[in-house]
Amino acid sequence: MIRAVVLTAALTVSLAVPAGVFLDARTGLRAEAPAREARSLSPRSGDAGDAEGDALRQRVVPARRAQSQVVPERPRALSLPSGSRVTIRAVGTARDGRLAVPPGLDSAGWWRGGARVGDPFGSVLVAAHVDSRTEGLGPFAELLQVRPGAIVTVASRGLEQRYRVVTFRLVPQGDLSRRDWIYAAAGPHRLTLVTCAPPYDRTRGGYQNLAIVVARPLGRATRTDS
Amino acid sequence: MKKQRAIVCAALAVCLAAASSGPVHAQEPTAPPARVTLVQALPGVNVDMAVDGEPVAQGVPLGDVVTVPLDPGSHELTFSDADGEVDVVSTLRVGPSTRTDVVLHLPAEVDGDPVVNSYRTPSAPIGSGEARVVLAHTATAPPADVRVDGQVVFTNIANGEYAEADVPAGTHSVALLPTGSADAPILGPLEVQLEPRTVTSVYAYGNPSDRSMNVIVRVVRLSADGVAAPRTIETGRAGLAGDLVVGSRFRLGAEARTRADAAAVAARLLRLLPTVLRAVASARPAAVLSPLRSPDLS
Repeated sequence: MIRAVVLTAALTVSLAVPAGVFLDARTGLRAEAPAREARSLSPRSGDAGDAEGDALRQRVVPARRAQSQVVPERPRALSLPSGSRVTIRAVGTARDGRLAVPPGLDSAGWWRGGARVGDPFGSVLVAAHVDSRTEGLGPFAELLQVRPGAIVTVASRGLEQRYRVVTFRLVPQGDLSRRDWIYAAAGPHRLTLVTCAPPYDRTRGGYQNLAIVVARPLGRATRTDS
Repeated sequence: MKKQRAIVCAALAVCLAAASSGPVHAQEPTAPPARVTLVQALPGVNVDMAVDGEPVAQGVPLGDVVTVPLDPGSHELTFSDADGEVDVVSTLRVGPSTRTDVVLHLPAEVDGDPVVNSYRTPSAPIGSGEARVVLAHTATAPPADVRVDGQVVFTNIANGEYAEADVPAGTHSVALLPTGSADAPILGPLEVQLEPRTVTSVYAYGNPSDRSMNVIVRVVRLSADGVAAPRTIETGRAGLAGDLVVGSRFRLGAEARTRADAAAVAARLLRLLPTVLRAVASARPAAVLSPLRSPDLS
């Protein structure tokens, strides 16, 4: 126990020193000063003719990414609990702060600034219209009556991740800046599905609420392209 | 330490040309230089470093770095020391405008010869509130898992490999464990402060068997990805879902247990009372009020 404490303390101290030294990538490096001295090295270095010092001229190896690591990818489609499949497009935010959800019912919008499939933390925010005047109720309408534990599967180009619905919240339509849990990079990795919810009041702009369904990952993202 | 007549036993070229510039050997005098940082991760020696025969640093101790701008193309890096225990010559190819860390470190095997690996700094823009972390295994240790804030985020990273992720900015607790094991960490837990819009490269070195494990940390600023957080989400206008009862499968009881705060649920119910009464008063025959509805109007 004491050994662990001493080790932790020693590591903390030695971490503090190098981190402080390296904080400025341009100039604040302790070794930069001696780097400028023009002292010649022993002639053996790099001398191809010397038998003992005949180092093979090899290439610097580019480090490999650990094989088990999943490279995050943006979501491209999801399957709702009913099996219904919805295409996902990456969308940004308009100047007035409105999420640029694709019009119509063909596709859902994934916020480009949010977490991706395979990211270790953060909210994967996907929103779609609950209905349209021309096409009726959309696929996301089933979320209004989703069951806890229902499965939603999200696919990216080469990955698939299953999620399990854990919470359903109704939030008043309007400014969401106080509710940053909906889109935050912080917090456990989760899928946040958003669509409009009743009550509907035509005289007050339409749907008065947003339904926010949060689902947690079931296992890790798996590769589908191998 | 026995003599380390070091030979770099690598095989691959590093070809880091920027996307627009085609083959690396198209060298223009005006191409922006690459920034290469030489990282000294060899315990127990002070290393002299030279680039293309020109000395750039003398007696660099463990943990120190030397940054040099290099023209795109091939360069010869030489690492040596006054005692002749280190003698490493390696060829590095870089493209314009790239940032690369070149790390001189020991392999996984005890008493192995030093190796040189390059780690390109992932410099893509990043969102506000996020930080990037690159964790590199440059230690005399078997493959490791990385636990961040108690959660295993990277697994089975072997010597010479790395893992990378975008994570929330802030202070995180980071530990290295033997892969697949819940035993005592071989390194940490360490408190690591990740500033927003930076990439932090962490090089773990040392040997857990003699408790010499430690890290070298490099931090580089990143540019913003320019994506603003949404303030509003508008998803529907036709009113066709207006009469649906929503969220009815989420029982109040379950939510109270989850939030461990039955009083908060009761207070919410009281706030709902006027809405419920109005709805009852104006309800059409088709509307059904489920007693299990739990809208969150906070």
